[in-house]
Amino acid sequence: MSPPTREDRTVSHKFQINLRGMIDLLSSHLYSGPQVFVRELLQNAVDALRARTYLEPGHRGDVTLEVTPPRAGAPGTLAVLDNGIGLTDDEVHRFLATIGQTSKSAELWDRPTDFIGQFGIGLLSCFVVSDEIVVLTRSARDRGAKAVEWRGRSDGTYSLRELDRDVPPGAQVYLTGKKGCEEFFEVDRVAELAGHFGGLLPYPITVSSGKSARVINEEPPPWRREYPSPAARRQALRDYGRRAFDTEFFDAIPLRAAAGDVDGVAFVLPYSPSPATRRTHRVYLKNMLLSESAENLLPDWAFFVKCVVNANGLRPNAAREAFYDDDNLAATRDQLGQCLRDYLVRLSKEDPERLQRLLAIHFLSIKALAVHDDEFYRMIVDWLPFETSLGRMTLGEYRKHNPVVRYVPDLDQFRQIARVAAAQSLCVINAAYTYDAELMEKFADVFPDEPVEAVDPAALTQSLEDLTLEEQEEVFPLLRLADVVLRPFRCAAEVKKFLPRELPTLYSTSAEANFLRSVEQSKEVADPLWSSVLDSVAKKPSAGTYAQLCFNYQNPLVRRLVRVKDRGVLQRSVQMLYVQALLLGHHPLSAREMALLNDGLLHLIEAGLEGPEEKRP
Amino acid sequence: MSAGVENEVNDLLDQARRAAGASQIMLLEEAVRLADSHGEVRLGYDARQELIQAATFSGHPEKALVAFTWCLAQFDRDPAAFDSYRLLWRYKWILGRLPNFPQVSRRQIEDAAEDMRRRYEQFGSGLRAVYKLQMDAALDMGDWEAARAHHARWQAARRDWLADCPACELNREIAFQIEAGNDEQAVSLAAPIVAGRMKCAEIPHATFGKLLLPLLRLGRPEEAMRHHRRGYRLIAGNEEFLYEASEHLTFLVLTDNLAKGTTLLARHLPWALATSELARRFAFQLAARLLLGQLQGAGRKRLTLRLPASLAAHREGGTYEVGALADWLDEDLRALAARFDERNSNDYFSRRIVESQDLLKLRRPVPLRGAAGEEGPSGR
Repeated sequence: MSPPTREDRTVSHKFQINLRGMIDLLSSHLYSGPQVFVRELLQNAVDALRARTYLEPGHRGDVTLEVTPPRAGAPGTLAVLDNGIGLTDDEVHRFLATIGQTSKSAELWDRPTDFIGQFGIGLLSCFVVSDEIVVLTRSARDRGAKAVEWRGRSDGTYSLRELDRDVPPGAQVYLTGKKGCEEFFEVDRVAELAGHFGGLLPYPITVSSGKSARVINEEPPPWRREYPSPAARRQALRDYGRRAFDTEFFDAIPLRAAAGDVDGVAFVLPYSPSPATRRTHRVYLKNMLLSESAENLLPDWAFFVKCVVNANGLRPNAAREAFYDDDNLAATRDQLGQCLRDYLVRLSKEDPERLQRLLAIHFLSIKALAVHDDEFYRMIVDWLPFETSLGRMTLGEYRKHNPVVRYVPDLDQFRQIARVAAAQSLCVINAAYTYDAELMEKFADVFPDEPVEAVDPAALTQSLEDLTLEEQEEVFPLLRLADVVLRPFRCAAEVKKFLPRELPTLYSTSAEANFLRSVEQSKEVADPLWSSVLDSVAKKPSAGTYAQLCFNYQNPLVRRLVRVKDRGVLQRSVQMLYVQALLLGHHPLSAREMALLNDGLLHLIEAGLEGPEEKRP
Repeated sequence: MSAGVENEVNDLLDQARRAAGASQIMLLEEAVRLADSHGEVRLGYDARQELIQAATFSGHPEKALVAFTWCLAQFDRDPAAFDSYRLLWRYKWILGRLPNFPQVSRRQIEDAAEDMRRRYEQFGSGLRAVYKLQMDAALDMGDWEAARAHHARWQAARRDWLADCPACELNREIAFQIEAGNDEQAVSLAAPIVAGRMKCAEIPHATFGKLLLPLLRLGRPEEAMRHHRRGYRLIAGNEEFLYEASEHLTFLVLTDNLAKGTTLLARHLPWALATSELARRFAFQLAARLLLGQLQGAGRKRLTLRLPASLAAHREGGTYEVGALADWLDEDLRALAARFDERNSNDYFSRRIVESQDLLKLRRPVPLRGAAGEEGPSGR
């Protein structure tokens, strides 16, 4: 199938674009809300000022937003006045009335990367709040050029005329508030929006109404100011953070990256965030607000901060909500990560108390960094908190009292071991939580001379004290019977000596044995199709998937069991000890195990009822 | 009593929401155990729903499968008591992974797809998601004709409330076009994903790796290298992306970046050896084998890797002979291929072993360029 060929008589037409419909589309999809018209107007003004400064390096640019609020039926108006480069009438046709013109092209503006906006699209956003846009402009490049007045209407038409009266070089944009958009023509709202989008801009921005006028960006942002002391700086930055995000941040860290020409501040969150949620940051591009929710600015581990930064050398992505992920951003990310790392290193030397408080909240983030960074690991690892069989402590505290670092990389196994270990006054680290296993594995790499070992419960059972030959013979009947009783539950029996004496059995299992338990449990309820799928998946070529029930020869109850001759009693006792071990280990019982428990309890009750009756004479 | 359990379970679920990877799974399994040991079906169901999600997206579909089966059975007992949408959505994750287990027969996979279809119709959903999964399964099993037929059905079906998100769907369409030999089309389809205009939790992560070979074949190695640098960072830390890791490793071998390739081998081979999804293990080992061949060619004799002690080829101290490891991989790959080929009743996996060597024809050095962003998740 080939497309129909174009015949000679065909006349080509242009698409008819309904401007009204397009504005509606843009306002609901492209722009985050009607208020962006303020950003677009500021962008146009600032770009025009930059262009004029290239032309006349001494020029002092400024922007004024004149507000006349809506009163008594009269709509509000907003005039944005700049003394920038201005436009000739030819340029007005090209830039104001051509939608989608990609940029102020290079011929006119010889350093195009210094400009933020896109005139056509930008001006279009004004139609969201105003049915008519009037621009008065005179070019500063061509002194002989006359001022022109452009009137654009939201029905898609515009008119242009030359003015005879004198207008200073630059541009004046006039908007008239639509019904329903009154709020955007109140002076406080305009000032707030101008501050929000343009608070960092290097040209004075004045918002005026009647006789009152104020400059909304009098001071540079707090991280670019000088302070008498580091404490004053910290305080000023934290105040800024409170105003910007309504949060009392733990601390504030100045940021700087030569790559991407970035500066700003990172605020340490006062609570621990989820590493799974994406951290978003407020970013400015060339001092104009780009996004409140930029994502890809920091290394993945740095989820403990929220940043405000300005970048002069990064590219925004198509959606203009984040930076384009290129090599330059990668280098920037590294350097910003380095700033945070340096801060932590400095704290450890100058303010360990603050570091400890920070770690109490953000240990996860710091652990994520330590996992990947040997040098940092060496410096920080003793400060990091871990859970141990004797409670929560830092690795430093642990190492003070334990010559060998012992850890268990699995939660189930930790629980089993913790009780035994505590009785043997062994302290083991629970390395089951995020990053802990990796941190422990890394320990040997970073400190090759320090002893460290992963304890596994099977090995622990092995290392428990063995019985003597006579004792082995003594327990043989119990062991043989226990093996038979427990085989249907994929569990093997052993007898050893260990502490605490009160513990009759130690149930140990492996990840694989646990998985098989869960398969059994699902199979009990599954329909035939899924039951067969489970069978297939659980079918493993390897054996060795047995759990283990280790009896404690030191335990008085077990010692009495060894002497019991009645097979029925012995069998029931083994079953009950098995169920008890499962319950102690928080293992849910399968239907068959539940049956064991019921059976055992009923017998217990019967025995209890029989006893007193028999004693009756 | 019951309120106490509920609080404890919810507390564990809360903790799990703040965790990731293995520890997240562990916390959720703990929540399941706790609910079960108190006979709390509703709590057990909710905890399992979370577990299915966590396990699916951190490389443990076998755990997701077991939890899902239990939920499905509870749902069938009392459909009014549970949310059908969550369960039907999760059905896609479960079915999508079954072909990766050679133990699961073709018949079982087809029956499961039929079961899913029945349930989707029962709950008033269209079948777009089902067709897509059937296409995926056919592709996974090397049945090209069936894949084409399902692809046509998928494309013809309307989008509905259980269809995958547009980014995921586009990602699959790209994979299909690559399989069909339409490299150029695949690369241009990917433009909105590459530009960041289409994304979701797994996209673009899964997309960059797919584009590497097509771009090499199209003679656009620089573009491929940019995709590698952007894409590898996204997948380096999550076991869920083992298959994607194999794509990036293959690319590094073909562009003669053997040192970087070796760091990928060291980081991901332990995942490959631990995964229960043998198709992913196969894919990664294929890439690993390609690397070892090139290392041998370059005269490299030994490697230091941290591999599990349970491995037959395990060496104390972690020093491995490149040649011996390559032999072991060959043997393991052949054994895996035999199992998959038997299940699939074709020679798709054996052919992949042969075709993997053919890739070397694409070999041409491309510098990694710049140290920036080169070293995986930490960026350091």
